[in-house]
Order: sequence, then structure tokens, then C-alpha cells
Amino acid sequence: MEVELTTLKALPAPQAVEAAKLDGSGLPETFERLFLAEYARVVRIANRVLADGDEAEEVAQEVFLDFHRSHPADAEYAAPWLHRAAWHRALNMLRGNRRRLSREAAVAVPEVDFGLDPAGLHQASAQRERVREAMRRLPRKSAAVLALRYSGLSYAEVAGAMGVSVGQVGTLLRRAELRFKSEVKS
Amino acid sequence: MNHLNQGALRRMLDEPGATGAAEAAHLAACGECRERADAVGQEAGGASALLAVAEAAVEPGVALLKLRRLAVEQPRRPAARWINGLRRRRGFRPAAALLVAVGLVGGVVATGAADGVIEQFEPHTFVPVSVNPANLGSVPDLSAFGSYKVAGEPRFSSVKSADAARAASGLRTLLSPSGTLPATVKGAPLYEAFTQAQGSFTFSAEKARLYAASRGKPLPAMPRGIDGTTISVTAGPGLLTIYGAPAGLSGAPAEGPTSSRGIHIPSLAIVQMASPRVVSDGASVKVLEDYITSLPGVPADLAAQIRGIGDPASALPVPVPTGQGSHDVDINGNKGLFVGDSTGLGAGVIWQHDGMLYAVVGTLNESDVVAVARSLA
Repeated sequence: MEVELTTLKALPAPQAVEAAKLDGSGLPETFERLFLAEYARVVRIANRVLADGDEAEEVAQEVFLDFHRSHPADAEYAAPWLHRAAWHRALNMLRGNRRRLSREAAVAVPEVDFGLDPAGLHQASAQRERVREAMRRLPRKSAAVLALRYSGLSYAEVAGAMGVSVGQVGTLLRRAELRFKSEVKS
Repeated sequence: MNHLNQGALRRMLDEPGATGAAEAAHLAACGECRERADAVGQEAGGASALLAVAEAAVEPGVALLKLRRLAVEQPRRPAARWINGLRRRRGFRPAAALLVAVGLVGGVVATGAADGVIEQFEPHTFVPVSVNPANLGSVPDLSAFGSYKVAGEPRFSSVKSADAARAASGLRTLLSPSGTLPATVKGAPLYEAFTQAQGSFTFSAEKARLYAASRGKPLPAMPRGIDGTTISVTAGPGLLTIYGAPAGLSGAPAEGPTSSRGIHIPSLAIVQMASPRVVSDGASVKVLEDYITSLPGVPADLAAQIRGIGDPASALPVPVPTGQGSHDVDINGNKGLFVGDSTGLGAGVIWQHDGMLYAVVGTLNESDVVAVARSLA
């Protein structure tokens, strides 16, 4: 509690006022609105990297917790910060945990229709493993633009999360797709 | 109009209404661009199929309840997590523990401590000892020769203002005057205060015997009197002032510099803490030093450097990875040690003054690091 109290003292005035109106849960109302608005997208971004819904949600929880502790919920940069932190942290998790690859092979549920026969499932698992390995080897910027765009963010939102101009997103995306396919085939 | 580039074609595939009318008209009229657009579309379709994953079944309301619990039950201390990340690096802890023990024991030796006399050591100057990280894997874990005891874990407090940092640490917050920081150091700092840490290590002849038996190799006999000797270390309180903190610690989570071992290095960190104090009881510390440096796995050149420190009465050995330079620098009349190079990839300076230990580290070159150190007030 000592940490929380000292942190509270250092908050900017508007947030300190809001924090004083906590509803007993420990989270300001503005932050909870932000959470409800962005949580699904943050999970989708992380899931696009991790291909694991549970771990994507774990990443999302950490991302929101970090944001809550360091930033005002009404900050203009809130959404791009969350999106960027999501792919950043998910990539770190993916690259720091090679054991995932074998687990993915066991639990993968592909959208791509390979049929339900054992051979088809095996093929799907093998492909998933190759794809995750390729994602892990991609340059971070390439992995990021794929995760952000394929999770449904607009080009403007991708640009905001990556800190690049909107005009660059198409080029980055095109380059990343080619590199990604090349990595999968290698 | 020039032909459309690949990036524009890719965007027009996803957001056809977002590009200008001129681009749309060109695409409609230009067979070559349409052909390239088809190729771009095929490549994108292939990547899309390969990237397909099962969507997570998200329930934001349920997730919010979980986050509420986490926020209350598991408060995390960002800088502590960052520091713990360093501690968890494979091989870091045992190797570092032994090196620190050797260094500190070496310091105690020089105080003239005799058998049975409790003596105190505080570092006043810093002596580089070259270490090859690749050779540290052979260094035995000190826990094989005795037991650690943590009497007081440091408590970390994250605060956002110099005043709050002072209140949390009890230390006057040293900062560079406004406008004097290197241009690459941007944004407001984070402050991480920590309380005093206390720990000790007690040598055990029995544990050493068991370790030797498990390895099937003889160890040098533990000299009489070492068994049961305790080295106690007290460090802190202290304060870290961090600029360009790792993702999740401050500002936007920009991709910052990362070391070759994957450790994010802040653009600038200022360390100030009460100097560590070491107390030894029991056997002659000279005997302890000789014993530790003679253990199998301790690189011979490292042992020789430790033993060869000319003035260990007040000197603390500082491990310097091979390839990194080091030399003495003057920090406002205090003898400091610079470690790093001039590339700006990472450098630091450490010095001591009036019972306090200071360090400035960051992704800066030598002149910037030293300038920051000298400017602190």
C-alpha cells in the first residue's frame, strides 16, 4: 500500500481527483471505460502474434495494468499506446518462449479448412508451427505491422501505433507480407 | 502521373476510398498498375491465409473484474521488475554472487581484519577487473559453499516527482540542471526509491564437502575457521532516476535500445545509494579470499586480478566485460571509474563521496556520461 499511496501523491491533479473517487475497485471510472472500449482489440493484436487466446488475454491484462499505473486514462495517446504495447509485449513473449511452438502444435485450432481427419489436423498443426516460427524470426517492425493490420486496425491506427506516417503503412505491410511468406516457406 | 508504388497499391486494396481520386483514376486507366495491383492482392491473400488464427473468446466485463483484482492484489513495481529481469538472466546470479563475494572479501582483507575481529568495509574507489562472460559459466554457485540469508528485502516505490522520490528514499534527489541533459535523453524521468537491503552468507564446510562429492572432483580443503564464518552486507537505501525507461515504465512504449542479451537499456539512469557496508566475523578474510579465488571454475586471470589489487583497503573490484574499456575519471574531485566505449551503445561511471555511492549509466558516449555525472546537484 505504501507504493500506491506514494504514487497517488504524484499523480497529476485531474487524475488524483478522479482517483479519490474510486468506486472501491481500485480503478478510476475513466480507465474502466477505456478498458471496455479497447480490451477486445488489444487481445486481438496479441492473439495475432501468439495464436493463443489465453495468453493474449494475459498480455492484455499486463498492458492495461501498466498503462493504468503510468498514464492518465484520458490521454490522447491512450489507444495507440495500448496497441503498440500489445504487439511489443506479445512478441517478447513469443520470442522468449520457444516451448510455445510445441504446445501450439498440440492445441492449434486452424481457421484454414484442412478437414477434420487426423492427417488434416496434423497438417494444420505443422503449418501453424511454421507460421509461428516465421513470425518469431521476422524483423520486429514487420511482425508488428502484420499483427496490427491483421487484427483489424485501420491504416491510420496502425500508423499511430507504430509511430510512422500513414503513407508508410502500405509499404511496410507489403514488405512484411512478402517476408512472411518467404519465412514460412524456408 | 507516375505509376503507383507498391505501398499505395497495397492500401488501395484494403482502403480503396482512402487514397486520392487521381490515384484511383490512374489505376483504372493503367494496365500495368492493375497488373501489379493483382499481384499485390494475391500476395496479400496468401499472407492472410497463413496468418489466420482462431479468435479469442473475449468477455471484457469478466476481464475487467480480473484486472480489478490484479490492481489491488498484485501491485507490481516496474523498476523492481526491470532489475529482477537482470537478476534472472541465466548464469547471472551465481557468477555475480561469487564475484561480489570475492570483491568484497578482498576489500575486507585490506582493512587489516584479523581472526575473530569484526571489521567493516566500505568502498571508496573502484578497480576494474576484466572478465570474459563466456568463462563465467564455469564459476560455481556460491550457494554450494554455504547459505544465503536475506534479512531485509528492499522495498521499491515508483514515484513521478523529485519531491516524492526524496520522501520515499530519504535521499536528496540529484538531477542535472534543466536543459543540460544530452539531446538523446528525452522526456520526464521516473523515480524508483528502494529501502535498505540486508543479507549475509555463512560458509559451510559440510555443504562444500557434499558439493565436491556430487561432482566427483576434489576441492581445495576449506581452511580451519572458515566453517561458520558469516559475511553480512548492508546496502541502501537508494534512488534510481530513469529516463527512457523500458516499455511499460513510462511514456509511449517506444522500442528502445536493447543489449545483445535482450536487456532494454534506459537512455539514462542515475543511481544514488548509501554505500554498501560489509561486516565479516570468524576466519581471517585473507584466508577467505584465498579460498574463494582458488575454487575450480574461477578463471585464473580473474583470481589473479582480485589478488593483485594494489590498494584493496578502500577499493571495490568492478567486473568489466572483455571488449569494454575502463579508466579512471574525475567526478568533481572524486575518483570515479568509467566503463564502456565511445559508441554510445552503453557506458557508465561509478564513484563514491561522503558515504554515498553514485553511478550514471545509459546509451550515451563517454563525454555525455561524464558530463551528466559532473553536473548532478
